[in-house]
Amino acid sequence: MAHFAKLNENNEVIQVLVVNNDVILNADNTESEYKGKVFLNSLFGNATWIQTSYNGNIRKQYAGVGYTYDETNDVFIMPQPFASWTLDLNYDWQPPTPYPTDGELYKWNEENQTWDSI
Amino acid sequence: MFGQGLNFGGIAEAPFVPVTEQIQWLVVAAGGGSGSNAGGGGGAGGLRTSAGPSGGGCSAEGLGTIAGGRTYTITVGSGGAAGGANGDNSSIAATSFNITSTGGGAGRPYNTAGTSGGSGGGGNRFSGASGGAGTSCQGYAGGNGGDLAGGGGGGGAGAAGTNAVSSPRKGGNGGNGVQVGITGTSTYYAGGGAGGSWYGTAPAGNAGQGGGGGGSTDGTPNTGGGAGGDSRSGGSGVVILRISTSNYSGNVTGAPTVTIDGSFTIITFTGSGSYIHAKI
Repeated sequence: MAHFAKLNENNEVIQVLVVNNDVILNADNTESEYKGKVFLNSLFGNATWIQTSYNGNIRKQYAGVGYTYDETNDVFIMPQPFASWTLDLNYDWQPPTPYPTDGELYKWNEENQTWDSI
Repeated sequence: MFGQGLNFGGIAEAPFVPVTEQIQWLVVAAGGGSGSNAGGGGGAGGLRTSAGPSGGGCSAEGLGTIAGGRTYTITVGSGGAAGGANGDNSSIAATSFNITSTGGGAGRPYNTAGTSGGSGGGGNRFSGASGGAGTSCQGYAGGNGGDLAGGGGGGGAGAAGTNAVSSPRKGGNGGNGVQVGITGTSTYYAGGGAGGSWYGTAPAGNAGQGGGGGGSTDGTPNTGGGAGGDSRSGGSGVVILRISTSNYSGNVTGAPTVTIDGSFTIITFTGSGSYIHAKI
């Protein structure tokens, strides 16, 4: 199965659909993202579709609704979990303070900007 | 003109008969993803069908009417991404025949509730975060997570996800799906995903029958099964049409699987595509 994410004008993922592999295969059995886009546009009308991998083999990770497509770096980015968290160089969200490494369990307190023991 | 023989230059063609038929159908949306950190299981995709009980404890819906010359556009939703994305809707779209099933809710990470969807996602372990609601006549709610317990189970089309339990510690079970016999074989679809374990020191919940994922397992493709906690993706949806073989046009796109059951042709769309009810 191939998977394609539909983007809105802000490059946010608004839908992710499945397309059978047979639809996007070239004569030499290689996959063509272009063929998938053409097929989806013929089916649903013109829109921006970007292929995503269920196993995360391309564009960093499998896209879901609410994710953002970073066109410059060709990656899908998860929604920001908390307002204070920032994106690192690997396109993962990181808290202002790293998760404690003392073996105890914590949850993030956004209001106090702390890891609270649970 | 439909229903009339055509005559071009004196050469008569066989009459094109517009075939209107009442058909059985099944539309299963994709399952939701599961959350991280003892996250809730993903909710199953919503299940609507004419060929058996629909999700959420409702009866079968009415047959669909297909008419000659019309195009039936099929959308097959993709499973919700790991970390807390809902599954995508699946649908049949055509004039006078529109059916949409809602994507399964997600089990969410951190201290958040499961999201609502076709079936609801399970709640995260923190503070007993609640499961998300299901959609009426499509699926049931997810179970609650629990501190010192685990994630709640994702809701299924046939039953709610259960709450995580603290003694003995265990994630909630995914709700079972619903059996539908549209292909000629009774098959479960749309089971909820298992609630995640407490940091791997206790068992995750059980997967819901119908493609729900067990602990840290994706939902089964083309069942609408929810993902098992933690951090897995939901199973994609499926759309199935059951048409009299004598009326089946063979005019499809999207590479569906076409099989025969007695005098019926079964078109199983595991990817998006279309069916045009007219001879090629």
